[in-house]
Amino acid sequence: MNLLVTGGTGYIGRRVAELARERGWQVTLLGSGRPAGGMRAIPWRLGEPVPAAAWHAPVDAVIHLAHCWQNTGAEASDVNVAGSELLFAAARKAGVTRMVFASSISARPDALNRYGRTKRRIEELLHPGSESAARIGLVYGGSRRSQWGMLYRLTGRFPVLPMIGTGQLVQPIHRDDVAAGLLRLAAMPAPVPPIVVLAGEPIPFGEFLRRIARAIHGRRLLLLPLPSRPVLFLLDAMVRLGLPVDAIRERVRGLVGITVRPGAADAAMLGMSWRSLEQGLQGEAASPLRWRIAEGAALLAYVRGRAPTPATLRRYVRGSLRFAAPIGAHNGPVLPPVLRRFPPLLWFAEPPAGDKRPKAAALRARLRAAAVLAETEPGAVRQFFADEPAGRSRAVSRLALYAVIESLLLVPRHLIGWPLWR
Amino acid sequence: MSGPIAVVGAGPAGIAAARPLIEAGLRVALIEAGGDAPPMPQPDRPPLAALRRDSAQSWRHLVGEDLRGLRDMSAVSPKLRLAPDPDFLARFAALNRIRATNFVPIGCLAPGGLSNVWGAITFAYDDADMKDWPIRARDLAPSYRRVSARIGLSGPEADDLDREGPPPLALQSPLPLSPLGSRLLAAYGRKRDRLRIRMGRVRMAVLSADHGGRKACSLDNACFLGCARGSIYSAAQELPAFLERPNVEFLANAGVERLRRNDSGWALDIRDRRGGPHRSLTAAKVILAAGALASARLALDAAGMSDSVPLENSPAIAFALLFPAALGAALPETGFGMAQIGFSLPLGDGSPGNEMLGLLYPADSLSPTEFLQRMPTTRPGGIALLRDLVPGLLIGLAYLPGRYSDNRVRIASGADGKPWLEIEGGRTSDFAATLRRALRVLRRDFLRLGGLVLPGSVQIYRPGAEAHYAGPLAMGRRSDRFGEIVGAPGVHAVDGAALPGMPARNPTLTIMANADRIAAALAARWSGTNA
Repeated sequence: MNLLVTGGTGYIGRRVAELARERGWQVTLLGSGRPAGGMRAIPWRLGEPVPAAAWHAPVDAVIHLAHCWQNTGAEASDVNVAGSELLFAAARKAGVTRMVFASSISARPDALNRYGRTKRRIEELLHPGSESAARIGLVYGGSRRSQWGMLYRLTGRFPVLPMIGTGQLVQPIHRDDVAAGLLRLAAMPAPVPPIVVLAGEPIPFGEFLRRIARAIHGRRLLLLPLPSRPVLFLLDAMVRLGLPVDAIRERVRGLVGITVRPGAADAAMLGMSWRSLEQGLQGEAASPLRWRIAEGAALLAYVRGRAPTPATLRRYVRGSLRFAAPIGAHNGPVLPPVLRRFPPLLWFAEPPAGDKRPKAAALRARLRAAAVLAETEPGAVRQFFADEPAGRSRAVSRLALYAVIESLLLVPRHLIGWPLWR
Repeated sequence: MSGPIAVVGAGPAGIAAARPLIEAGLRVALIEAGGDAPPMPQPDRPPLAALRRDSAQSWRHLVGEDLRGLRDMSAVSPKLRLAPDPDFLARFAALNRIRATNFVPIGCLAPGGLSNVWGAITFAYDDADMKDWPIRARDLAPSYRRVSARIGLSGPEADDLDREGPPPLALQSPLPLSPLGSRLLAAYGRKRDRLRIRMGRVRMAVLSADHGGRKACSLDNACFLGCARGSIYSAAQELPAFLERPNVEFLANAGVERLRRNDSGWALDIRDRRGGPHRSLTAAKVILAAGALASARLALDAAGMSDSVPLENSPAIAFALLFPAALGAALPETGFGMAQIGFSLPLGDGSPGNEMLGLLYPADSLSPTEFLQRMPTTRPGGIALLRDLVPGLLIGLAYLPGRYSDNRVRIASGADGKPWLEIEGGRTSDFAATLRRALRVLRRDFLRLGGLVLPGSVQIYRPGAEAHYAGPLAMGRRSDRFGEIVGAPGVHAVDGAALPGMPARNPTLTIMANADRIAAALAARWSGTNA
């Protein structure tokens, strides 16, 4: 089967192309991004005429995922609509009998955001019977790009996250399920339904974020719900003042105006079932080795004041896998990404000796292991022992200095540590 | 006698008891729950100072090839940092069916028992230590002499820690003191009359001269990583010579489940810890040396004693003692890494024997990471502080007599239908006040000697964590003066369980001497009956 994919280097498109190739299909990418190794690619931009080369080999199906976000023109002449129309016309002319358009769950003529209205207008260009629109829910999983990449980072970076629309029902679906669904649709015999929903079970957006934080970052996320209307009002005002917040307003509107569309029946019609959010997120968690390496490197660097040697880091990871229970009953990463990136910040956040909460205790146990190994590092003797007699006055003044520093640090350690290690 | 004499346990008590029996030509089955002796450190291990200074390989010695040094053993003892896993602790209680509340039951499942990890501190008890015992110090004197000559003790002939003159011990000359230790003892000599504490050099089962195939201490300061030269006595060192004797049968990995009386003596139900079949061994007599707790379970069950009996332990504390005058001094390149200086302090009514006994460990032989966990500082800040503190730091470990403990043990039937030993730990009501008063005096006296008990550094051990146990099979009460259990004739307890009380002074040498005394008497009694 010959498949033409637009947007085949994007977040979803790349997986669609990979999956099609895995199934032995011939895949041609139509677009501007850099294609994955070995794939046939034809340069093209949405809005441009499709190069004739795209149709040299007979194409069985087109999956149209490309979407242009840099779209500052009038909505009536949106390049996505015009460009899609050109694409569909060219495909039909070349005799393509199956067209699948990646639409959105928010596609509605009266959608709050332009994206939803545009998607709906493109849906209307499709010929019923052989061409379908796939209305896709909130896609997560896979490479940390696009909207998913943003959610992944947001839920991992901050202990408290101000967010609008936390009660809004969203329908998360794993990227691999979306890709498989699109391929199934492209291979279905006619007649095909004009609209197919590819979306999972509805879940409040806030809960979705919390589950990402828990499953992937191993932490609790505290959400600070922001009221949507005042935020939108504020954004409108800012846009009117000429501030560049269009994209943000577009996203906020998309979230606030989202519609719930049952997807189970369509999944059954495709002969598929979507993985649950738990299953989907499970596969997304960083591998136990990966977070241990990242966290170990940070803890060793913090204790030692410099990056550990690879051998020490290897020993830390080996030891923490071997003696997992003694090194912390809390079974997951503890350090938030910002502390992993900047280990010296732990000076202000290291949990005090009496903090017995599981996360704090786990961190203290891991720090203990890191300290034991740090002591064995080449050259560590100068850090751990006065290898030359310091002289009494120098020793006493150094002790006094560190005593002052440590007592000053007690306040931030309690203030920052309390919410951080909950 | 038809069967052999079963000696249960190859720790210090079992080894000390087996020797007179073996030498008298009696048939002995030495039964040990552990398997191999714990691994010895590599003989070419560099001294601690060199390990720290350098070598990409030092982690092998400091943490262990299998990284076992990363386990958190801080709740127990830094001596267990490199102890093999997990026989020393976790399995001891389970194998011996011990259930404890508010008590840490410690024992070691390996030939040599707890002498694999001890501090090698030895005391010959005087009559004040043995108040209410059915034997006197003079009864133990020949055994003290025999045992000390065999295992090799080093230390002073006499000093202020002796209450009744020089003890009956064979002694090698003491090991050299650390600079800080010499300084402290010199200060003590000058100010002795103004102090309530008494201070001196403890006698240790550590060789200062080669002895019996073992090498003298090389002062490599790495005692806490295990003694590569065998200078520190462990009962496991005596085992190979026993095994060459034709009248000795050694059963390793053999956990004794129960003793049952039969026509020819006692049948021992033995579980093979490697999963082999259960076996039964019939012994004419049984010597219990499995460690006070394990022996108590076997004996109380065999005697059908279901009432609870007292168990004494030495309530223990640890504290950090800083000598500001030594700050900034060079760390010694060599030295003995464990305690060499002891102190005593009268408690309560001040009667002899009612005293605290403390030991002062040099801080530089310990890994700074042992302290970090307890410090209120950040980790790197703590490391920076310790770098300058360690040259002036001693770690105090002090014991109170068992009369301040309040533990009970009793036999109860477990869910598996087998007898379990239940321990209920506690301390007497006057413990806290006594300790508070003692600490006040300690602070004052150490201050006069130039030392500062660091505020917030005093840690009280959980009951039992110090592993000094006595009493459940007390001679004169639940056994006769030869440890023969009331209600279980032919079963003799020779370990800590048989001691009627636990003085503050470390008991191991006395346990060994008492085992030797009992076994020598029994050997004379039984000689020629089962050869």
